Amino acid sequence: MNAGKHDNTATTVPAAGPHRLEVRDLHAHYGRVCALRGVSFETTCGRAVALVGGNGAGKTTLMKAIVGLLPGTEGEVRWQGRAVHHSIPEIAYLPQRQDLDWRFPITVRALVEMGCYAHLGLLRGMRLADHAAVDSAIESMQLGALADRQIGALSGGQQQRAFIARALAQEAHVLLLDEPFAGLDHPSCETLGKLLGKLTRQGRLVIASHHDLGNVDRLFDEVLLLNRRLIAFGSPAEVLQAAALKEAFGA
Amino acid sequence: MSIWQQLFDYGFSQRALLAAGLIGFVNGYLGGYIVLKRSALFAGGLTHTLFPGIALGALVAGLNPYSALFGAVGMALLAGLGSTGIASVSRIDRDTALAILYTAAFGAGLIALERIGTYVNIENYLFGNILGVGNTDLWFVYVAGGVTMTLLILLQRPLLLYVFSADAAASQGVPVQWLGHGLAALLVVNMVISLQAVGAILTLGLLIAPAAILYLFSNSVRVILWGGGVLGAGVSVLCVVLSVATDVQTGPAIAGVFGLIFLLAFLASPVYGLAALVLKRYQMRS
Repeated sequence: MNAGKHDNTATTVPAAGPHRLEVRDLHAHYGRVCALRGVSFETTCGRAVALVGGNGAGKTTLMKAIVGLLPGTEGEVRWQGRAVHHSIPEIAYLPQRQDLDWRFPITVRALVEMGCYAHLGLLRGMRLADHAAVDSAIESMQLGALADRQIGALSGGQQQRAFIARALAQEAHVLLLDEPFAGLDHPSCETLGKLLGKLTRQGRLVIASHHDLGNVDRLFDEVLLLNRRLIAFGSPAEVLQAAALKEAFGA
Repeated sequence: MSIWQQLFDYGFSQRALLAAGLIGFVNGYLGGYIVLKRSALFAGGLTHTLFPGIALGALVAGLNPYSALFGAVGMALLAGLGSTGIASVSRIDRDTALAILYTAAFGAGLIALERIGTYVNIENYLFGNILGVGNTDLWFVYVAGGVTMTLLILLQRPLLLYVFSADAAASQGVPVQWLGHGLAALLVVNMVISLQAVGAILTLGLLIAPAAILYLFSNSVRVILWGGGVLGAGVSVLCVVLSVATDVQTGPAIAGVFGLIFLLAFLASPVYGLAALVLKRYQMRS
């Protein structure tokens, strides 16, 4: 964890400009099983990208490979033109809700404060600016009234937003979300969709695995269709065509 | 002679009080991370390797504090690293691998024990004998406890990220594998320094119970860690006093008292106990 500068403007990010994520010829293996083969794409900040594909298509694998969680990965990930070899705070990965321990004794505020750890290093205490960054991250995810609640006492959508707030406190520019809309009721989906839209308008890049083809075009700017390799990448209208979907889902 | 005179006039009881307080604190604090990581079963498996380690050490070099120390540490590390290694390269999970390794070790330990035939002396290691703590033992406690607390406080942030979600922590650049191994190593070291106080079997209670009790009340990691330390130290010291006054063994007393407090906490906690459940039902009905 690097000690670094921490400004209190967690909700304002410089406009897109050169903020570009490039993935080149990414391969990933689990033992002898090939989970991803030669995935290449590039996108810029200020967009929301949906990863669409069936079970085992490699959506989670792709996100984990981008943040450097998988040891057997080949290929290259470039962020702002520089190759990424280690995990960096600018790129945050948010695990699926079911993979997290919601009984953990922590409040929303303490969870969001964990996002500051990357900047604080091992021992530096939270300063006013850090508290302000945490407050603004919580406010921007509309969790102000719930800040002192234990995370297990939140609804699914609120839990997702709490984790996004943690990524904002981490000053992440790229948010990789694993099935953020899964299991949410309609109003929660709408709220989360709007908040994600706000993040992209601030210049962040949101990449999320998604399974509901009915609302992809409303929630996302680009779709990446995946079936262990990249089937198609582009605007929802271009990608979600019968032939490509058939190839992706094998139906 | 009053209990207080007995406690403070004799070197052995002063050493016992000091050792109990320090060991209790470090165990209670470290146990917070074990409870948060839900690794109590793994820790329990490791405690079962201490006794066979001591027995095998005694078979090789005779029963003395050094053979016990190296035997226990060696066996616990072997089983801990072995099970972690097996889990990382095969489909067998860590708890399953450890269960087989520690029962095998326990069998070997029992066979070794029969060969050396010194059951009476080894009982001190099994159930603890804190009133017999010597100055050398106390130095072990100072050094191991000091190193453990320094590391745990220094690495508090990455450890917290790691025990909460290893994946998310790794994506923030936290070296989760090293932290996992480090935590297991600290666990082993502390089990060994706790041998004198509570013994190889009962050390698990002193490790897990304080944090588990506070976990029933608090949603603050800081309260669970530091509170666990204070509770661990308090109960341990109390039990030394109790055992001087009533001639009950200290180790069993510590384990028993913690069991009792846990039961009470589980029944009475207005936040996460049975009382909370009943209260909620009652409120819903009315």
